[in-house]
Amino acid sequence: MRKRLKINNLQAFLQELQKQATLIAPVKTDAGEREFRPVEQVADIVLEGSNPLRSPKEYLFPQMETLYTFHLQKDGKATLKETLHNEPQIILGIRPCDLHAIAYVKEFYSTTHQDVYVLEKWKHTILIGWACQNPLNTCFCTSVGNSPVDSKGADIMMAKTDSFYLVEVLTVKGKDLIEKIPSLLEDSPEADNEVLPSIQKQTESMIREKVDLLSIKGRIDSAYSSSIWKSYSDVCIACGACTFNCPTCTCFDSADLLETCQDGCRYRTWDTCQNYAFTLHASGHNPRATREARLRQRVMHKYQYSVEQLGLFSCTGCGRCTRSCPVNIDMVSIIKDIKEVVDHGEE
Amino acid sequence: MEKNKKIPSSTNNPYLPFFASIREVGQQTSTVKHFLVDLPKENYPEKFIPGQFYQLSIPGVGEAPISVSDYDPINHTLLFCIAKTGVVTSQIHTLQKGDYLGLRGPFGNGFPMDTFRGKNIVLVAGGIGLVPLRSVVEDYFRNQDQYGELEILFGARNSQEIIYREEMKQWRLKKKTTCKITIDKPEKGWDGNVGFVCNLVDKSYCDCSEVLFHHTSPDQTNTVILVVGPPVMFQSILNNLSTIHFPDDLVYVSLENHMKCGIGKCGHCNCGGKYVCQDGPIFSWKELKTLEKEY
Repeated sequence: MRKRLKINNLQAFLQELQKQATLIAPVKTDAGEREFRPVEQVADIVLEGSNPLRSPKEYLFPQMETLYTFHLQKDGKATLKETLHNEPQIILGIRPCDLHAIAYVKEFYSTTHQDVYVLEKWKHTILIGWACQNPLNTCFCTSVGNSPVDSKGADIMMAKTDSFYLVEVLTVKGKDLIEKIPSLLEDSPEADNEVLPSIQKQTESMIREKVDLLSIKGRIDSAYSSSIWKSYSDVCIACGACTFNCPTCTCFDSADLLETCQDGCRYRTWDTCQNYAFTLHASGHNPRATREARLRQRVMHKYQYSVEQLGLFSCTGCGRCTRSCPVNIDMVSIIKDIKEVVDHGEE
Repeated sequence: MEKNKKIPSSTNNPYLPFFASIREVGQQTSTVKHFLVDLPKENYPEKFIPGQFYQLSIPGVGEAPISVSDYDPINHTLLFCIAKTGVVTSQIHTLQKGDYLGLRGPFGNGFPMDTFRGKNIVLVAGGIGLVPLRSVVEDYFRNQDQYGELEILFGARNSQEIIYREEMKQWRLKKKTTCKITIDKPEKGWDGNVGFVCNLVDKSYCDCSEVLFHHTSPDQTNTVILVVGPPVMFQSILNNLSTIHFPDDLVYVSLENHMKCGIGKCGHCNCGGKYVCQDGPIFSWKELKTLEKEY
């Protein structure tokens, strides 16, 4: 189902969305940055402009999350209370790179032992995508097989044209939402078929570079022993910013917190494979003791290991790792080196 | 996001521990204790495979992955043998009979015991590595008629660090079973084997490789070798085995990567395309060759 929304009906549309559930969208912060946050006033929402530095991943997989609370009894046994969250939420303004990322995170947490915390949130979340017209010079979504208008993972996809917004409804969840707010939307004529392809063409022409990683998908491990890793890890300071801003990084640490002598919780927090202690064995042995091994782990996981596990790159080309790196390690440069090594071997 | 009124609950949440009471505590060495726990009826494992592990926890302290030494399918008890190494294991060491332990599991793949039927089993353990292998020993004795001979080769740093001392005396008395212990360096009053359980530096110093030869000849396909110990120890054994061209699909190793969740989600134990907690911790030597050496 495809609809049109008049430009001057946008505010009313957003207000309707806000009535249905907690609305999360890019809003301008006091610091002048844009961030995905629960919206207080729809006037604060800024849909256009570059993608926020932090992805909306945290609304499904929060930076810190309580898994359960416990109350200790005298005998040392504890009563547990699961803390699942099922508040309905709508996330609006998600670029295709981040839609892909959420689809990956959901897929990752669905395999074998299901992660009920992420999946329960996902069940109660409606994802509204936003066709990207403002790529940054760090963006490389086309290198990993994505496109600036791909709606994979979205319940509803929106795109801005000069005279209207295109609203494409893709799932039952999306349809249920739109049916609650019918009056604002108009039918979309056949000619609107051209909207997304034209945005795609326009945006892709603005993307700095395309490295064809699809042609070497599944063979990237042949670069494992290459010397390229060291040339990057020599400058890496292992701060982990790339992992914390990555929309597909799923690793976490968990720990217990005692609030009183008897009451506390087990929580988890994002963790980073760039940290020395991430793989440190109890015995003191560390299989990834060097920055080189850890930097390679992050890159190989994105382009090789997740392909082995789920058949998917776990990099969506959003470029946040490059954007947030304090020593200017450029992911596009890394994947160019990888492709060179995989295609032609090391010099 | 704390404002939700209704907190749903899931009956299938792999992160929630259950509590089991401790039936018995015993001191194995100065730093190793064993804990026998009674499983509540609703938490009997559907199936337990030797080599699997549980996540043990104390609320307010934390959680640690611990190999199972034995699951008794009649009394529904689990036996753990725990070295005091970190915060959680130190706290577990303070627990006594009647106290409760938090448990999640069993996790991991375990040894493919079905494929060992009819074969001789050689267990090679370094130090605390004997703990997961004991679950194989117990399974062997419960179903001895289905297997060939059992050979246990155990190396400890010194005579003070020998675990399951009493049990090994009993195992030696059983039919079709041999049990050899070696300690790293000579000691006053020790008249047993001396040297690493597999000695790379001086093979002639290592009786174990001779024993392996003894077992693997003439028919190598009739013996499986299970190795558990630190990476430096099992690498030496694998190197030795490669010199005699032992089949790599009949050798199994248990990896012990750092892990938090036990269910392939937290990422700590990721090694190449595998999660050690879920795809392992047991890997055949053949599989191990395809993995990046990050264990």
